[in-house]
Amino acid sequence: MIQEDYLSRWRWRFLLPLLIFMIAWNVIPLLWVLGMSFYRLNLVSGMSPRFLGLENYKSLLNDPYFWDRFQITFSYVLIAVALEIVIGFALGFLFNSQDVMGKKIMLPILFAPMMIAPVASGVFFRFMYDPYWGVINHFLNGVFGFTIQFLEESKWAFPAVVAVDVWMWSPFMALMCIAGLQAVPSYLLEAAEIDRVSWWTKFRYVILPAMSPVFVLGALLRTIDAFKTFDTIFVMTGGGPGSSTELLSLSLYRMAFLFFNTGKASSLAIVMLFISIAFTSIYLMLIPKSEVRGR
Amino acid sequence: MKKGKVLAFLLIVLVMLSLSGGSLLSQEKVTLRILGIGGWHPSELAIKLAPEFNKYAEENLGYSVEILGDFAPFTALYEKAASALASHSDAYDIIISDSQWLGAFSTGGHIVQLNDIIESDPNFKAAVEDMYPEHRASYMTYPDGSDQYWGLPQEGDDLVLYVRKDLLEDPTEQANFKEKYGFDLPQTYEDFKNMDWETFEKVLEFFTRPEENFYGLAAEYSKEYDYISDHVMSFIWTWGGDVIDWKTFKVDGVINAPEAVEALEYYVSLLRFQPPGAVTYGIDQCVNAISQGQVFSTLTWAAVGAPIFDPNLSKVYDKVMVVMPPGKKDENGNLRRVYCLGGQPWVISSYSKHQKEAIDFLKWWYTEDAQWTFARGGGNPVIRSIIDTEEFKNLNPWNRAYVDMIPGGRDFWHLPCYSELLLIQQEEWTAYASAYAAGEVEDTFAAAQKAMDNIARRQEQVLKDWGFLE
Repeated sequence: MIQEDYLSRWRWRFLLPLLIFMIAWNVIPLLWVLGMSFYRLNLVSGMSPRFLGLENYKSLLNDPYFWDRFQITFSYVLIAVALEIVIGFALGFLFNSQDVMGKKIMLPILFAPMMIAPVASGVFFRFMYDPYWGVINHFLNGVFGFTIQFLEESKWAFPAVVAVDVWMWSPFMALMCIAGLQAVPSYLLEAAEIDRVSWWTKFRYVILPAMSPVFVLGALLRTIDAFKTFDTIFVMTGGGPGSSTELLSLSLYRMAFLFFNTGKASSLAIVMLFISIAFTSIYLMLIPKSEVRGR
Repeated sequence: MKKGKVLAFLLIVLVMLSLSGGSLLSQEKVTLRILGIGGWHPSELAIKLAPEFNKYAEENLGYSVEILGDFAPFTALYEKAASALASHSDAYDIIISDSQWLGAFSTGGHIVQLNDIIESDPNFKAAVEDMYPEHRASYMTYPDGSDQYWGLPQEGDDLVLYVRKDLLEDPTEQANFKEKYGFDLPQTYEDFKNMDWETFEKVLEFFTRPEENFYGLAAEYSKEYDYISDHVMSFIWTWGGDVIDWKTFKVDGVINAPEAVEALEYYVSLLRFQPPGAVTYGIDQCVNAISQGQVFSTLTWAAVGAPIFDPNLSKVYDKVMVVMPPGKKDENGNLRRVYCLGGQPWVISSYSKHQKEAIDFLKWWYTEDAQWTFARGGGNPVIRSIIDTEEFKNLNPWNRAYVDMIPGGRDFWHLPCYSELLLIQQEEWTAYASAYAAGEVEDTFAAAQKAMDNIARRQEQVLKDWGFLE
């Protein structure tokens, strides 16, 4: 009892520094951005801020170019994360197996892409995709006798930037998969072995329910991260050719730091925040269900 | 006790020093901070010449000065400069801006208006009057057509054509060309001065040899910064079109007029004479393409001539000639040649604590000695009594073309919404160029027209939002 009193007395004192930090660095800036989103505000032009109410949001949501970028971003997130889940799953199963030789050497190599700074990866791939002296086109030309203008043609630029994201982040999903597989209780696996169930039945009713919370968390993190992708695309294509790889994050950057259209940029940032929250909610809804199924 | 007195004395000295802001220690020593363009020779040269100004300041102005340079690449310079100015920071005393930003910086009150300063010093005034009107309009003035000066040209620049003179002088090439086209390959600066694109296209076609991995041209098509825009706009002006009605700010009916559409269509069609991937070329790639012997010619800036003629960087340093880019014959058969001016002004920050010294520095920059030193270092000065001399024109291989391209040269809009107008062009033009390069365009004029119509509609919306257009 004494210990409980003591803890409850000190709990808030210990939490206070973190709360102050969060309020100062998260809550206040967020409210500030929310406030700015209701104004016509350009930091460079020197014009006085003018209250517009919801005008910035209205103009944004009625702008066909916003929806065009939204579609590009949504496709990017969907395709990249789906591929990362599939490849990550495959790699995770492979490296979880006891039969893989040289696992200790191969695992760090597998995880290397996600350790590299995204901007560096973007520059590497820009060079590798180069139609004139890039290694990928050198290979294509040598083996198949043709080259592809990966970053120069709209139809190739989008898959080319998605491929970089998949290359970088599939290992992360593999890592989450390995963590999930480690969480499968060994007695369940042994029981499945004794019952001589099929591989699919074992996967569907034993492995998947047990590992899904970890895996859904991985997918959630990747979705939020892919939604924010900026560096790789900025250095590889700058959103081009045309606007074929122009994600919302690039539009936000231009609106905020090239046009200094601070009011409208704030409204876009808030819309993006809500989209991220929506993604998070969907994933969080999935976790309890899968846990229930697991039991 | 004695120890206590010594300590008290030291304490008083320290307090005095801190109250004086360190000026007791560094009396008459001023530090000027300049923000410039990284990897851009003329910007870097301005900082390298700083000791010369220090010498001048010590001898004539009675103070010492240290100049510190901070650099950002073209693509990030506006972001850095505008952020510093928007936050009223005194981080930079002088900013090597781009001419297009004068509207945004001046309307925000971020930079110092220079009219009174120029008027108050007869030598300074004489130097400004000794500049080409195109330079005053491009680097100094906002609003366009007014006499309000906000910047001064740090360097002048324009689009020039670098060509391989060794190939032009090769007897076999000459004979083959004559046999194929029935006229001689151009040989001299004058030959190019009188050349139109229709003729030059034959030269480009002749030297385009994909089987040898050699191509006719490298030009700028990149979405980065303003790369495709300054080339397409040059072609629009040379074709007799325009990008905006400069009085009413109407875009529709101007940028999508037939001559402008034809100019875009033509410029993009030149991709067929260029290396694979040229549709993303910017300045660096153009310089590399000619320096590494991959192309016969490149259409890029006079300011980037130095690396092309540097034996350590270029395989063709002794094989290149710099000429005026071709023109377009108008309906009367006269050659029209209106290309984009490059170069940058420098502006003085309103938040600088050393405005007087910054003004002294700029006054020094336009003295004859400083301008010649800049020219000898590979820069492009702007004072006519220097650049119009034969001595200057013969100093660097690109100087003659640089000077000859100034008259009639034009600049982008200087409006505060410049970057929004620019991005629209960059998006629409690169989309069209990319589709053309991919072989996805069947009717090139219709596709170019669509791109221009989109630009007109989108730019007019921006101009309405900013109140320039009703």
